[in-house]
Amino acid sequence: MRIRKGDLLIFVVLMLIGFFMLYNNFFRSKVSGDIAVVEIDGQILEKFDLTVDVDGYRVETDYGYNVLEVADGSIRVVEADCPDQTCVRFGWIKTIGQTIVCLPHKMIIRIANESADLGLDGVAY
Amino acid sequence: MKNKYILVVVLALVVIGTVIGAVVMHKRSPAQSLTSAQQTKFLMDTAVEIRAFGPDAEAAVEAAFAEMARVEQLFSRHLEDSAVSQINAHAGEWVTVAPEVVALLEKALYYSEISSGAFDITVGVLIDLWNFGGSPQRVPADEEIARVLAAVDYTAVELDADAGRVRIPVGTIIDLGGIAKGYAVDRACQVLKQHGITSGMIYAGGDITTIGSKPDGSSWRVGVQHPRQSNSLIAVLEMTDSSIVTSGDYERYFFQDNIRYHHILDPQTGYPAQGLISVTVYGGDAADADALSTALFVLGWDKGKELIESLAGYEAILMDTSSNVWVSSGLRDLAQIL
Repeated sequence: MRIRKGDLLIFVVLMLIGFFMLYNNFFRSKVSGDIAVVEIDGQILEKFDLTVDVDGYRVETDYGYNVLEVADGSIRVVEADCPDQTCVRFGWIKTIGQTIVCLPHKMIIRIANESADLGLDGVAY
Repeated sequence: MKNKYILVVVLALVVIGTVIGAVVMHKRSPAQSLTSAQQTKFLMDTAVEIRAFGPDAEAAVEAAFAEMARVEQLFSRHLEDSAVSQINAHAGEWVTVAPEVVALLEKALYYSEISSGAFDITVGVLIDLWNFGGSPQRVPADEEIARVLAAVDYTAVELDADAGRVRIPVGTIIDLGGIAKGYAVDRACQVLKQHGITSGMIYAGGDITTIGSKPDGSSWRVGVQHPRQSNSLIAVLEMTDSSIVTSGDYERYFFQDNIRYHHILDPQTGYPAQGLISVTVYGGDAADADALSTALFVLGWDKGKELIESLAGYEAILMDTSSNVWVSSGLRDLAQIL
């Protein structure tokens, strides 16, 4: 029972199919794009796919309103009725782990990735 | 011939099966014995997020938040019943305080001393005068600043540690905002560890403290915000069981006549500290890193470098107004400067 070229080919093809399925199951599904998660008082309100531009999304709660914009893979607060305007002045963010906090409105926008474990665990500011 | 094909197929399946098994085991084994919890709460005038992995992470996180709320009750100047409010309300008299309060005051005074007053808890009157975040926002007159500066002097704080009491001069207001948040985080870490948490992270208003490494055994990777470009970082650090605290002129500020006035006040001049725009301190305890980040920011480029290099266990990244970045000697291997 000698192993011939043809056998080796079948073996390699099977291995490739196997590893392709493995890759699909375990890795590819995890490498989705970055998202921006908007939380109010610790509860997730909305998630934005950063590859889809959004102009003037209004978040309105009992605390007040913040208008968000998504463009070029980044997100920012365009306008808000909070007294300190810290969230508006913070500007654009796009890196995993970065956050914009609007304290008066108890709102946090954080850049994340659904698959987690990618990039940074946090950004100090 | 037929047998041979079966053998090849079986062999291929065995190899693939082994790899799948290994991947599954690798992904599941560290996580399965642990529970995880992640929660955000607003306290100490900031957003606090706790992530924890351990046998009962939910309960641990609850207890950690309760501990932070307890610390806030002791040290907030804006809560009437706090120890700090009691000391301020009875300026001129001895006020008996808990050992925990004595200990944090001792630590605060230690950082005042080694920074020659760059860090000073008696800046309360000055903070009130500038009233950052209030309205209308304006630069106080020179005379107003000169008048309140008379009440800013950490050496006038009398601490009788043995008797557990403290006395400040009439007119002085102490504010532990530059150290109490870090202390609250340190206490929360202790509580998490007591609850069996072996991996966790506390994110308190931009300051980060980590417990252990990540559940998969790798270090926590943390970025440092660029003070002028919101979309950029100045550095990335790998950290385990340590704290990182950043002070910057971009957190609370206003412009008047095209000049930026920020919230980190120099206790000597009464005006916002000049020279640096971002200071990040890295080290074991959040309270110490918290006090040091303010101290270095006020001390500036040369004296700031000198102080941090003289301390064991604490490191720093400084950025000046010309965007020059300096990294202390002990951090050069841990930090990746971008």
